[in-house]
Amino acid sequence: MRLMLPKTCFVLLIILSVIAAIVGLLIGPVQISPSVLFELISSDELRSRDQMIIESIRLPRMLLSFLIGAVLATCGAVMQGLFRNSLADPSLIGVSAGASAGASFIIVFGSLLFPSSVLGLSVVSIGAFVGGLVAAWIVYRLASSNEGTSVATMLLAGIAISALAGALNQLFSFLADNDMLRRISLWQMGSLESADWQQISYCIVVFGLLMILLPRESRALNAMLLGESEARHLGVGVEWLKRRLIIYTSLGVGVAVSVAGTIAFVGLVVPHLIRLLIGPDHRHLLPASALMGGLLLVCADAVSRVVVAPAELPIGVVTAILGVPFFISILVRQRGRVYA
Amino acid sequence: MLSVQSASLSSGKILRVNNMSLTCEPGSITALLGPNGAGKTSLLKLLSGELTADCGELLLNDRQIHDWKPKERAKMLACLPQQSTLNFPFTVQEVVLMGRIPYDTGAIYDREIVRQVLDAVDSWHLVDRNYTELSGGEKQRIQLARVLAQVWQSCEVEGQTRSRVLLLDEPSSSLDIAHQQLLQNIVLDMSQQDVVVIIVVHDLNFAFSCANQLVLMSDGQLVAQGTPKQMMANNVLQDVFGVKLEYIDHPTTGKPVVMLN
Repeated sequence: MRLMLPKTCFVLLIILSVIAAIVGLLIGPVQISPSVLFELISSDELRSRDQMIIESIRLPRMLLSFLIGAVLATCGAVMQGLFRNSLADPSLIGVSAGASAGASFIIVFGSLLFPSSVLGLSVVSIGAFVGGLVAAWIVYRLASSNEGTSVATMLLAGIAISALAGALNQLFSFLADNDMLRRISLWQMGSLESADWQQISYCIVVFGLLMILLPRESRALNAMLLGESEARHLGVGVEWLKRRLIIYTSLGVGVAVSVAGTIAFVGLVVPHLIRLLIGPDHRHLLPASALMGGLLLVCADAVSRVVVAPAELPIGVVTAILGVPFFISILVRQRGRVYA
Repeated sequence: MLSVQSASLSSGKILRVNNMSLTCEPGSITALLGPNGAGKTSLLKLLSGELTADCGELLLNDRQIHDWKPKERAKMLACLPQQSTLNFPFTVQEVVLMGRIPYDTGAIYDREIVRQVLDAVDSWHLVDRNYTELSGGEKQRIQLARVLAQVWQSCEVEGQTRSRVLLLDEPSSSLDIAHQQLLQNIVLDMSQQDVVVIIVVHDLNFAFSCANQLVLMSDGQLVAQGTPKQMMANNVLQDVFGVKLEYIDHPTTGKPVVMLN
């Protein structure tokens, strides 16, 4: 029933990630020969043009795509556990929509209110992050009552808030001038073009936090899959668990979206695939999803740079085009089975 | 020991449980009986601490149930709900292992317990199967095994041995006749280990043959309480269920057997 053991899966994913990383460094509008990589590692001599490309463009970009992919996939896995639905997605709780609205707001009105940069991060990113958190918080407040948080209400509230954020987004677009409009739509398609070391360190911190905090919740998440009351009977503090998980995922998704725009589909499909490979136990699912999400986004980024070189496809387009047919084929194969 | 004193529970305007008091001693088997919608499950949820009573108090081992830390409470009290909604493809072994979540006894020890409880519910042969692909009755046995794994061994909290509580909500609804008998034996076994067993059943004969305390509810209220013999004598079951009942003695065990007339 399981296709492989968790250990095999980890080893395989690590090997594939290393290969993808190397290939990703070498291909692009300028093809670079593998020998440059060895020179880069072994010598301190004057850098050639190729070495400059790798060091200042492709390496940061590769790292950033890996981190973003890992964060999105991990958050997807957590949300699916929280909602007890393997087709749930971080954007369900309104983080993506809220982040988009926040970003658009800053793009349109930001120049009036803020200096162009705070803490080295563009203000747009902060707007997105705040927008995402606010949206998730509102959805959570709507869905909670004295008797606890209803998952169904939370899904519906997520839809409502996403719609509201979408409307705000359109309103901001309507008010925007041509240049702003272009920035809004580019931002929403997602881009790793502007990868720099500051963004990377920002993502490493968030990724590291998630990787420290989330594995502690693995067993509780497993218990949640049995049902909320079952989890409670197993000694899980369900209400606080849900609060913590919402904060963690809002943080993860908000940061990913604020750095790279809306990248659809990674958070939805990666955990689903990992579950098919090694089963739903979160102790293995979370780290494996992180690896596979990173791997997938590194590959998608490489594709986005190569297919229409020297121009680039937005990475969100690539993930959707690569992933959706794949996902549909899984759905079709699983149709009629109990879970899906 | 588990006891509830004059507890009421309402959801919206509906009074689910009205001023109920009940005490269950270690080693007792209590069967909650009553027509559909009588409040049996609500009472069970109240007893398990899942729902909080509007008024009244609930004591688990002489302490308010919510004063125990969740993890310690889970070591003392296990509850099998009526339905399970698990639809992720865990293996049977993984599902039963979740009963060990409150413990930190290590994988080897826990697997041994999983083997014992799966043996007890006659499901060891299912251990590597995908839970979602099992039949309804098999799922029910696996969930029972999971709950048993949670209170399988004597429980020590804060340096003292505490009595364990097992709450079962219609555990036999999907079981075939052989496994119903197996369930009875498990319940009797657990009570011999001084576990408090409280069980919601519709099968009156199941209740008569293993429970020593019957609690009859109707419209959220306690109607009658007593041993099977007492319940048989006062004819109250007939009135509450609105059917005519006949009792005979079982030819070998001598316990009362109830039949529709």
